[in-house]
Amino acid sequence: MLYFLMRALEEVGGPAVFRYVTSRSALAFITGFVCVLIVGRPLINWLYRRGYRSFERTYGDINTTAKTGTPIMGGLLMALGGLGAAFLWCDLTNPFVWMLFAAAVYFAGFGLLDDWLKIRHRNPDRGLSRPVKLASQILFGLGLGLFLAWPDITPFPHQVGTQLQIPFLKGAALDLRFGILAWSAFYIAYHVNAVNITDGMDGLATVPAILVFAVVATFAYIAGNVQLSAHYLYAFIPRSSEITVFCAAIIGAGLGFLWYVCHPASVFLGDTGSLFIGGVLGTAALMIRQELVCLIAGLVFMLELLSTFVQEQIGFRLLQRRILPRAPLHHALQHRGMAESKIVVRFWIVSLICAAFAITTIKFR
Amino acid sequence: MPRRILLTGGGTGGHVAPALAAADALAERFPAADFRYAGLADKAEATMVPRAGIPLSRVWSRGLPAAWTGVLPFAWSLGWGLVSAFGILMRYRPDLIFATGGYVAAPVVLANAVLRRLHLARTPLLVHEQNAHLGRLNRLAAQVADLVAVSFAETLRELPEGKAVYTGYPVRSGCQRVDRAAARRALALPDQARVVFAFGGSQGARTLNRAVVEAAPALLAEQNFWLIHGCGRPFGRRPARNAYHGYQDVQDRLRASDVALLDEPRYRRCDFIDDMAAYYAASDLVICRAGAGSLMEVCAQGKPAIVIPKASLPGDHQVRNARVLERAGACRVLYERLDPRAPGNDEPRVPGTRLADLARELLAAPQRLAQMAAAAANLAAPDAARFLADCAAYLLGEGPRPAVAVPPPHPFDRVMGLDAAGMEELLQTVTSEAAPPLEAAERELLLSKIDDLLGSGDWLRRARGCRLAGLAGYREAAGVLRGMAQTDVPMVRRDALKGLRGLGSHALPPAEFAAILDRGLADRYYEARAEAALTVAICNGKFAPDDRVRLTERLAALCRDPSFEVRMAAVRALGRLADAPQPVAAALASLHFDPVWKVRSALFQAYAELTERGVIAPAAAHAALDSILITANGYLTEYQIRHRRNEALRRVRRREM
Repeated sequence: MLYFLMRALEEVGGPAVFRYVTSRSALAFITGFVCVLIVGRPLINWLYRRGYRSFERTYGDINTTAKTGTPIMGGLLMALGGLGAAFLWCDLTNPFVWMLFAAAVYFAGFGLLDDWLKIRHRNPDRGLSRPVKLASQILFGLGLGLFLAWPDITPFPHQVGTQLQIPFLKGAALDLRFGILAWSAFYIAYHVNAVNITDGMDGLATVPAILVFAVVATFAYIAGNVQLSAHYLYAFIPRSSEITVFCAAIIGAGLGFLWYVCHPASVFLGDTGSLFIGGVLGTAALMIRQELVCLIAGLVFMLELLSTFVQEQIGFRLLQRRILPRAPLHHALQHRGMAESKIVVRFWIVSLICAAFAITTIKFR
Repeated sequence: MPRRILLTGGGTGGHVAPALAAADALAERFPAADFRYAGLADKAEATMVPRAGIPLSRVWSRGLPAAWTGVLPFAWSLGWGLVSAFGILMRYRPDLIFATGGYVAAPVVLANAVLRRLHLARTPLLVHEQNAHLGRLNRLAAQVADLVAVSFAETLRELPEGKAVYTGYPVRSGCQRVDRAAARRALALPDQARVVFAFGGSQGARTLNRAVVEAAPALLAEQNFWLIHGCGRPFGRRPARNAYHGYQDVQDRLRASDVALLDEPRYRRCDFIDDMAAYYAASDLVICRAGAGSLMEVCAQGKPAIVIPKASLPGDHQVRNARVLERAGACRVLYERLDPRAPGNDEPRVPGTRLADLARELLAAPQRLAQMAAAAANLAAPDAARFLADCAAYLLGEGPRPAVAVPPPHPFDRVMGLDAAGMEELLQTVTSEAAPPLEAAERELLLSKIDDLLGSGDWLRRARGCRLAGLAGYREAAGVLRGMAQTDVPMVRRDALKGLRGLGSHALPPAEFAAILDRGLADRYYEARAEAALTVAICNGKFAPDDRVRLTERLAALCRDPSFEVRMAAVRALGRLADAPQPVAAALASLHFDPVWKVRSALFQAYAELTERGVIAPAAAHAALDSILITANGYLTEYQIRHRRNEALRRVRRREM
């Protein structure tokens, strides 16, 4: 909104800095952060009073009783702050921004519904059922796939929307054609579930997500800039640099949320937050056409999802035994006796290294 | 204007019979009333309803899908069912709907709820629950019903206060009591004979039939014992190919086991019994299933009974029914069980010898039988149908709300309706003394459920069963656990060892126990190794010196195991088991700088125990304790605000009391 106001002011002699993606990104970042800080305390209190609190759940011998009663649905905080800031500073006529808003509202909505059902049934296992969740993710992924591939509606230049960029290889890309539908459905479902599973400790999902968003923002800036994309030999995607502003808003909100969620947490992301983050992350990565780089940047998410998959599908179902002591990974470490804060910080370190490595793929090709 | 009453409910005869009984009473109350029945075209109602002279309108319905593949057919029949139910409701325009539960009632109940919500109809809904536990559909129907009539006082607790009415179970007038002597003459039974009447419902019950066949030789060994066996036959003119044919099955079994019994005049078998009243009247003891219908007939007839409830039904409702009668002293319950020695064989059974022993014990004590008969007659609700008609009249605006004297309800056994996880929780609260200990009847039901788990074809259930057997101290299962400790399924091996630990060192002969643990310590699966080591730590009291040495050596070797859980368990076990300083000291010393602090913290306990038991010198232990790595890992956070809150709550509660 402010973007339009500033552009209008520019017509009558106002400053021209608001035209630039970089300056608006910085403003969106600050706005998101401040928004969450201000809204945080009252929203947490409101959630607590409404009874939106977590329930006791035991994972074998890992006791989470001590955290019972912490408000959930904190994702609402992050979504409100991030989307508010994006609403103020993004160019709202941009189709990429529409898609990101659509993803955010869709997944935050499903997350809210899931959390609400859990609270209503007073049982953390009585939210939306797994198949329903998966179906909702696949549905959105298919829609996004159409957005990428359908010539009549896609904002992407010819073939760019369906090309899978291979990192480390200069100019190498795989044209998926309509396979992009399946790929995008899988990719969205992957991200949503990976973030959802990772969100099991205070701040464990937030910081890696922020870092991946930073990587996405960087690549979006390059892809949306004629000169930079030509210089680094990436496909130019007109107007996609607006994604950078959106990401900056989410990063700001994420840092603001971290203020409250760092160990010991005053609020949890809940499914509202994890579905929101996962959905937006997957959508953004697909829209800048850098899916594989984002997988590298989000290695922590991949490990978490993979450990769960190995444990449940290969271990329990196939071999009828445990392969890891516990799953997902952070619970395995906790089972070994590692303290929560230690696990969280170590995961941050790993994801920081991964994000840095993902950025270097710009040059190392 | 004549009253139009729509009856619905079915799927099994147990839902249809009370609807028809109530219809008789309603017809008496409203002589001009018109009846119609909404039901399926291929279930019990399709034969029973026309026979009662009531027209049947067809609806479509289907039970809740058990698997993913069933979702589409379920949705399809639900849609069709709703459409057909709307059609019936719009055309027939009933003044009252009487639903007796079962998924057959779903379309009409739902359609009526929708019409009422849209203010297109105002038809009141009267629901009747036959069992001691609300069925799934009735639980739903109770939300939209105007009145819910129940057959057992125990069910009132599960319903909102204003809606529930106790009426009892309406038994059809065709099943009223007849004279015993006349019945015996009619059935050509000698007057002084002791007659046992066994039946498993009109379609027959496999478990009951087989148990009766097994029990028959022992029962008929007594010269004046007679056995009448209603074996049952499949329903309808064209039964499904895999339907259970009771009579055939019984004949086959007899041919295979005891040919002489085939021609024994004192063992009468029939495939279908029309004149139940005469058979009831002629018998001295009844053996039956625990469906509400059978039990209430037994009560109406005032007969002592041995009841075999069908296991693993939703909410264990047959068990609940049976237990209500047993608590009142009207019957004895025998639980059917899967055989844990043959897991995967999904046929529960009741040992024939147990059935025969119980029947003979009861028949030998006529006074007991008379007491049971009196208790049964006391539970009967002869006016149930009339009360139901009163309820209908009240809903039709033609009478006061019926006030029926409610018999005092008993609490249900805590095990009732629990799944494996629920039982585990219950046993944990019981062992931690947060709840009173299990009563004998509760324990018996629990053990039968554990048998069902142990005999299941699903390894996950078997594993659960092993753990539960340990928690419950189910000594008789020790042999089964020993077998399970050597199966191919890693998780089951683990839980079998855990279960044996729960049973304690008396569970098996010491040498055998040591051999199993020896194998467990060498298991390929790390969790099984860890459990075996923990079991050694606790159950080593009676091991022979040779075994102790052998196990100690194994445990010392396990101190180098790649899994920290195994190392930890091995350390604990060594502390309790080792009798000589070598090779224990060296094995423990190698763990002083173990990367996992939990292993190191187990070392302290082990050293203390070894010193106390005089295995290692205090000076050596002291030196070892000083050399173990201690870092800040493993400290626990303290949750002060919660702590304070709990303390405050405790103090406030003390004042409240």
